[in-house]
Amino acid sequence: MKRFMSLTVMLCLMLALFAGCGNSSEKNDADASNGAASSDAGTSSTDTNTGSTDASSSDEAITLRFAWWGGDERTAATLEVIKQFEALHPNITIEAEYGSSDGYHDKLSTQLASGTAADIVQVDPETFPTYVDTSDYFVNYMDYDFDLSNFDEAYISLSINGRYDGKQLGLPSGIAGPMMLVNQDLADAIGIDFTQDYTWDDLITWGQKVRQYDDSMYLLCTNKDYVTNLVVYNYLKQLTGKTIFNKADMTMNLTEEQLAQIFDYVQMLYDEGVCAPANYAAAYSGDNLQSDPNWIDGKYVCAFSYISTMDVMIAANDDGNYSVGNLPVMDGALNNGWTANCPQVFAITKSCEHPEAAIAFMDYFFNNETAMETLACTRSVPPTGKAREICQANGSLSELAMNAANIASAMGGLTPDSIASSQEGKQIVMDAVEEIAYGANTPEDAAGNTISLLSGLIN
Amino acid sequence: MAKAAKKHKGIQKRNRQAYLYLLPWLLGFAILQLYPFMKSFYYSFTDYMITNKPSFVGLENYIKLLTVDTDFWNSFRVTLVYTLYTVPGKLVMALAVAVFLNRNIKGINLIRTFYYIPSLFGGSVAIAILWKLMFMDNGVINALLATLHLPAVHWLGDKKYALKTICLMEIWQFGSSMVMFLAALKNVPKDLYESASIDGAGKIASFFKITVPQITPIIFFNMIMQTIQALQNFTSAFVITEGGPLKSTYVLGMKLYKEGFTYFKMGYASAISWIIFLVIMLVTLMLFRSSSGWVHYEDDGEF
Repeated sequence: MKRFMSLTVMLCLMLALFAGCGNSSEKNDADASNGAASSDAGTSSTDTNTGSTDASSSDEAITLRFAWWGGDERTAATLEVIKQFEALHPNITIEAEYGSSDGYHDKLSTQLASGTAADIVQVDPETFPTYVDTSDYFVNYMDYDFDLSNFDEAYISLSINGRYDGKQLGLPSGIAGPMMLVNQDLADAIGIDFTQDYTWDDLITWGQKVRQYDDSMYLLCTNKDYVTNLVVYNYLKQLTGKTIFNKADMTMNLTEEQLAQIFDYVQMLYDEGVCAPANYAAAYSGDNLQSDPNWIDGKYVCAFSYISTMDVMIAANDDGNYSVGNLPVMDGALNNGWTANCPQVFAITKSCEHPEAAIAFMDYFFNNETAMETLACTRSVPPTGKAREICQANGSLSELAMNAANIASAMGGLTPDSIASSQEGKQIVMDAVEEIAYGANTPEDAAGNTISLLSGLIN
Repeated sequence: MAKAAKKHKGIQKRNRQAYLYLLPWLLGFAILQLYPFMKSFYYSFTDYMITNKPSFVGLENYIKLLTVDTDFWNSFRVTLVYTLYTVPGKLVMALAVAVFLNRNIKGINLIRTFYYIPSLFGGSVAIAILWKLMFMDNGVINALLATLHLPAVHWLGDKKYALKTICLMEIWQFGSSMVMFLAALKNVPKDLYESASIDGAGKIASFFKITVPQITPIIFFNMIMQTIQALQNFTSAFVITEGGPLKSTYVLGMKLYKEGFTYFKMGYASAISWIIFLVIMLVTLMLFRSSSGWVHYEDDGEF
């Protein structure tokens, strides 16, 4: 009897153990029907396109996972659009997976490799080519008769915006790109005009002027990430007229002397006090510029930023009166360097079991007027002309964002190559920038070292 | 004869039962530990990239790691320095607090709980973020220095201080070692102190001549556990300083993560993990070797 009891207990424990490892599809199904029953049905009155397809209109309960990163405003708008879509498609439940951009792609890479990524994923356009190159992870929107007519063909046909070898593997979430955000009142007080055409050297002169005006202030709010991505990479394209690598024949376009010249400029930025010392900025690296207390106190004249994150910078010090400045171009530049791109692309993974339903959701997301109004400019300037009209009419598309998008678009510089803009390529350049910023290495030595490390990426 | 066979059968049956009881653990061990462990050993000899199929490259990863990759030796040095700071620091701190708490005063249990709280957060990201905010240029620590009219220090931005700041966080989480020291101190026989005081020994002499030798097994245990933990450190370096400035906090755990999950070079990352494993094993063996000279067991260490 005793043995019987102990064996029974044992079996129960083991079953409990295995139950914990099982998949949760049953639970999801239950959630799906609950979600459908409780979702708000009153949002669909003005919809013009419900994007219904066979899968999305059938009664089969479907659960999709949708992953993105972003701030509170973007998250709230996206969740609202999900709610609207679920009200129209009671059989579809969308599980939101959102958070900050920190570590997002590290996680996504492993998920893609193991086939456990969300069904719909937001991806950084500069990381996207790495995924496309390595494996067949994403669904071609064109295979599903997706309505692309709202997009400007010239814009979505660029590979940075999701089209690879004639396949639309991603859709751009907006029009973005680098920008110069100017604290206009402070710039006026010191006498600096960002609306004129100016060079990189002008930035140095203006930086010195700011220090003379008030030695607790700096011209440029920046960190090693921004100096790498915006200063070094754009200076480089202007100087050489090329990207770092020529991907077609896997060669490097950059010489050690050219790189040393660029690093010389980086050294000047720090030595002349154009930006705050590296040991100060270290605490606000990555996408954390807006946490710099000196930015919050309005002690910087301007900041290199992105159109998609401009609002976060403005929100950190909303007392300021902001404007969008031009972007620096050197005399005799061989290419303008600066270029507009999209802030993110949306892709549907091949591991998705219900691609039709995912397509239906993306259709609602990009082509439905209610969705356009709800999403507004939470992912930079909207990607479609129709959405821009709606956002301009209701005032959600700010003049600042539109100006910035126009300035970046008009520059029309080269799109960065995927080797130099890979995480490892950027890290190699950023390590050198950091050494120069700290005065731990000379521009010449850093250039030699960087060239040899970069060439390791193509050998 | 028949009796012996029956007995043998009985033992076999009981063995089978024992294995059945052990099955959940054995399965967990095999699937979650042994399999990844062996797989990473295999990957360390391949060019596995998360996204491609691994192909065998022999010792290439190890050769590159030890001869070409300058970051590796920097990370190796940083990890050793981190261990040399945190392990003794944590042991001394834990022992000092344990001695202080080893007395019978009112509310002592509450005080002990308070001292243990930092360890409850051990290794968590939240505490690392808190640390970062405290030690930022405009953080609480610099504000405190300012009230004392001392100049501000770039705790996280200066190569000289960043690693030490991270070490401080580890040392601050001394609770679990402290609890063990406290238990060990309670086990030191009181009569030893009494006879020592009759012989005229002072408090300091008793501490070094009686307390420390009596608790050496626990010192040894804590030292091993803390050393292993320190050599594997990742969270604080990743969250607080991201390995910077100038890679002064780029510990091996962080390099392993970057190579594996940011650059997707899983084969290379596996090689790093095996080097870390070998270092930990070597250090632990050396500590065990040294233990016969200084660890004192009541029963002479026999089981």
